Amino acid sequence: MLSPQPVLKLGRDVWNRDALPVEEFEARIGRLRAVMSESGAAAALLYGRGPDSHGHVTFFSHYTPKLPLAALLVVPIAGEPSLLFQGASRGLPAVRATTWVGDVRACRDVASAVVALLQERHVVEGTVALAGVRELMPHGEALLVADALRGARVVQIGAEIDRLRAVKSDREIEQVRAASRLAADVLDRIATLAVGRTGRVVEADLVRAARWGGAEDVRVMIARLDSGVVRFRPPCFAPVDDGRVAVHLAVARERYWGAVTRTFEVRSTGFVDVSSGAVRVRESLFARLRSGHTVAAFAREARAALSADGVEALDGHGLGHGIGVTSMEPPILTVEDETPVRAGMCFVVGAADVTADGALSVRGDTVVVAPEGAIPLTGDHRT
Amino acid sequence: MDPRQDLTSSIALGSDRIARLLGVIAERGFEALVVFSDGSCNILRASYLQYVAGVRPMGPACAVLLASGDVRLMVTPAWDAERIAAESWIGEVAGVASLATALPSFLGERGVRGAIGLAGGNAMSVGVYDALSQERAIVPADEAVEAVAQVMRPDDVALVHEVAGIADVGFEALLEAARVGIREYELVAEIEHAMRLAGADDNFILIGSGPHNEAMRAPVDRHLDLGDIVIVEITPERGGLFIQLCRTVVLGEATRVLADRYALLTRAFEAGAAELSAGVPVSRMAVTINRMLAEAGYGEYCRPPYMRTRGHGFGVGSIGPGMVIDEHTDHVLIEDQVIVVHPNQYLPETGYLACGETFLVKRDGAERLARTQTRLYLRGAQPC
Repeated sequence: MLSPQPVLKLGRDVWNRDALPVEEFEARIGRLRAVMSESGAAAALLYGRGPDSHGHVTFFSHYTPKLPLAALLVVPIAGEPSLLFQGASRGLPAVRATTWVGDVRACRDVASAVVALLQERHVVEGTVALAGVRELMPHGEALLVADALRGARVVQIGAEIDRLRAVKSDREIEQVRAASRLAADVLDRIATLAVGRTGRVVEADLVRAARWGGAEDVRVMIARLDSGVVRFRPPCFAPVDDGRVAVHLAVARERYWGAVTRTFEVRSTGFVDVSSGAVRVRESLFARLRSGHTVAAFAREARAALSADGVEALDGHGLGHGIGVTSMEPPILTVEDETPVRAGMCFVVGAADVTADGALSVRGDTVVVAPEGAIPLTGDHRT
Repeated sequence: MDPRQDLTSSIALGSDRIARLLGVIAERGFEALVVFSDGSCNILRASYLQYVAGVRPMGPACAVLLASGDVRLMVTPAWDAERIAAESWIGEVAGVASLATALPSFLGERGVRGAIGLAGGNAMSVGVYDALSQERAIVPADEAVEAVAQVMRPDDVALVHEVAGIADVGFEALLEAARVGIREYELVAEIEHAMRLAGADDNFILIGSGPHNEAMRAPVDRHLDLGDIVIVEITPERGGLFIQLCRTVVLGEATRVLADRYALLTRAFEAGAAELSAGVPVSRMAVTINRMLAEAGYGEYCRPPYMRTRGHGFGVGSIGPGMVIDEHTDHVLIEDQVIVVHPNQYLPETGYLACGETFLVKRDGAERLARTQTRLYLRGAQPC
């Protein structure tokens, strides 16, 4: 789910080499080079920007921009990659501590820096593969890069990298699992909060708990369900003091995200989890999210099943989306997406159910696709 | 109470801003002014859209001010339009799937064919820019919004003081929580939590800890230890405005060398801040700080990588000096500019030290915004 971008990823910033050793990244680079070979590319330029659009850079380098600034990874078909990040040179030690890439350069703008690097490496001719440049780079900088590559054949490989990122390795699944458990555990603590607080105070308490659990980024969205529709919003200054609310909590830990959505009845005694009323959501979605068919086929089947059960997809939010080094990434679970569902893909899936008392109940979980269906990573002890 | 809940005041503030921007449109001969945001909130770049619309979008969004006086806000994702409409003083809000399609289409419908002013365009992606510029001349107009914002209203000044108060709360939380054994990221969590409770929309916090720091950065797993020098930048954000405190705290006793060097930085800071005044080149502040450090034998440390900048502005209307204020910055201070002065500095004997505060520039001097003092703080070393 989209949420406001933070000013700074200000939480714990580490590279856990046991969880993600260098060979994990070397394997990813190997798969990238296989994609590059197919188009004859001598180099790939992978661009990322800000707290939500850095996925390609982070996936291959483990570096993530903390500010709404840019980074660019240059991967030659042979030899060492180079990481360019927009920032001051005094930031180099901290960046080097969290990436396996040896050639790390600080720069004022990555476009000028990459043009200089390409000239230094003599790769402004031949074939150059791009990902994220056309979609994310500010137009002025993109023009600079395009001008430098006038003599080159340019191929776009963003879609191929999306597909490559979508299927997680075992190590990645463990990272998503750890982040998902942290999200679920933190959201459990909402039951200990006193009622009558504003949405902002609820957010502050959840963020604090997640940070103590090692979260580098935390997003909270709240939807009041009394009106009969589900509209998630960033927490506001209005009190959360009665009625039914859905709380969505997404947490990044050691670069990987997990997310969970639960519904609470706000009573005088506190927040009471009523998500178990949405168990049909789980049954409708999880069993159908299995390898062997496409995202579109899953979406059609799931929507039909949900509808038959009186369960609705979340208006505006759909059935869900992929999750990994960014909180929302392809594939998006829509009837338009023909990506094959494969074992190892991680998704956030959710829907709204109408419970026996006629009230709405929203439930969302992070899952990993297995041959027999999706397995929840957010823990299932509350179902 | 959130001041933005005061709807009447909010609409009056927004109407005033938009009326002044429409004046700029007429003066510059634009058919429209497009104010763009990619949804981010950057400490070193003003969010023009938040200034114009009074709300922060999640994704790419823009306000379109037509010469006719009509104003429309276009936001992504489309499902967020209801929130934006409830929070913004702009009445006409459209949730759109793609700005690259919706923006040129809207301008076409309204018969806009001539020159368009574009503010915030440096963050605009190729797709949106190309679609916008296909049939129209685009004129960069960041400075037009800056000029309007430089004339602060009482509500703007009140926000400056509110955010300054939040920064003090953050620093007090640091003093309360800093102790032997706590991890860097846990300490940052406490500062962040206190400032959120005090009303911050978001926070920018950097930290460093140890006997000899190289720089401030995102927090790591390190446990604070006796004798550590803890350096922090505490910067709450509210309504798109940031206010910063740069502070140094010692766990236990400070060495004589550290106390002496920090006193030097404090004197340089005070002398630099004393140069702030409307009509005065901001470079004087940097010259003064650097001169004092050079006289003490640290001239070669007055450049990167030992320091980055002697300060910068915060928020729309105050970014004139740019991201770096140094001896060569060509900018004359204007009344009500919000400027941080920070001789944050690596010194060979002590490592990197943080020392700085934010000021509101006045006609004859500058108003210090922090309630807490700039000095070297000592914290008892009891374990957690």
